[in-house]
Amino acid sequence: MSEQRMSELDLSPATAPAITREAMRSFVDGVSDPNPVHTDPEFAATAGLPDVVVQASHTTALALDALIARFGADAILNLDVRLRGPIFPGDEVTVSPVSYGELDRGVELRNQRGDVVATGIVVMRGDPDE
Amino acid sequence: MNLETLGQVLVETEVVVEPESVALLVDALGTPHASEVALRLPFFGPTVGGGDSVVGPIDLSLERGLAGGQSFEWHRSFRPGERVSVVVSVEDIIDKGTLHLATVLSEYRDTDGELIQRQRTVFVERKPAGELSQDAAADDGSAAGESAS
Repeated sequence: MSEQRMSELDLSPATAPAITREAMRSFVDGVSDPNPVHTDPEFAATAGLPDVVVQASHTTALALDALIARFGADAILNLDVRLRGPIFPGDEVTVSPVSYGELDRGVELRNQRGDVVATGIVVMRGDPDE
Repeated sequence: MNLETLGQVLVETEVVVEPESVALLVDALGTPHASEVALRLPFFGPTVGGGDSVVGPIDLSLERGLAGGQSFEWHRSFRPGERVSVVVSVEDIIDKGTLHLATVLSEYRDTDGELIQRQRTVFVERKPAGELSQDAAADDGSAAGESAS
């Protein structure tokens, strides 16, 4: 356990502001993603979803925001995010550090219900596997 | 999905880091470090060449497909107003049971050719019911053939 703790990111859990529909629309407009699954509830229903879902880069941005706040942008070389579940309007996402092994350092994103919505592996500049 | 697109370059163009677009991302995040975050991911590779530039050629169904992951390799932040070149290609696209998986790679370079960012997006698409039925029928046929021989 102590070895795992050593590889864990020195990061306090951080909760992002609740995600609004307006914020979701701003994000997809900003990255020019026209996929209606992020903005049109009726289309989301045809995809089997109960509501629109947050765009992929928006999820990545939530993780990156917590990392940059702690370490600065230049310290982060690589972030590999797996989307584990949808993020819906109104969700509050908390980013916490987790360890995936001796070298890999990770983050976990959970919504306010405790569901894991994404996980990420972080490589910092100067890491042994950079 | 169109598995024949494996290895194909789908987009090769130049884009500008529009301050207005960056501002939209900053507004969306609404955090103290949002401006730094926005300059690390102002482009979404699968749509940087236009909304249908990747989805069309790989034949991704928006009703049956979603992004399953993203990977970023950052060499520096983008600069507001700078012009960058981008190449988007299909790094991997496979049939995996009931799913199709595609990895779309986009690489961004500055005017000197220096790499700014390498971005990968993985799409996961459920196969349509008809295709699953055909797969099942093919399996049944194969099994029947073996038993007949």
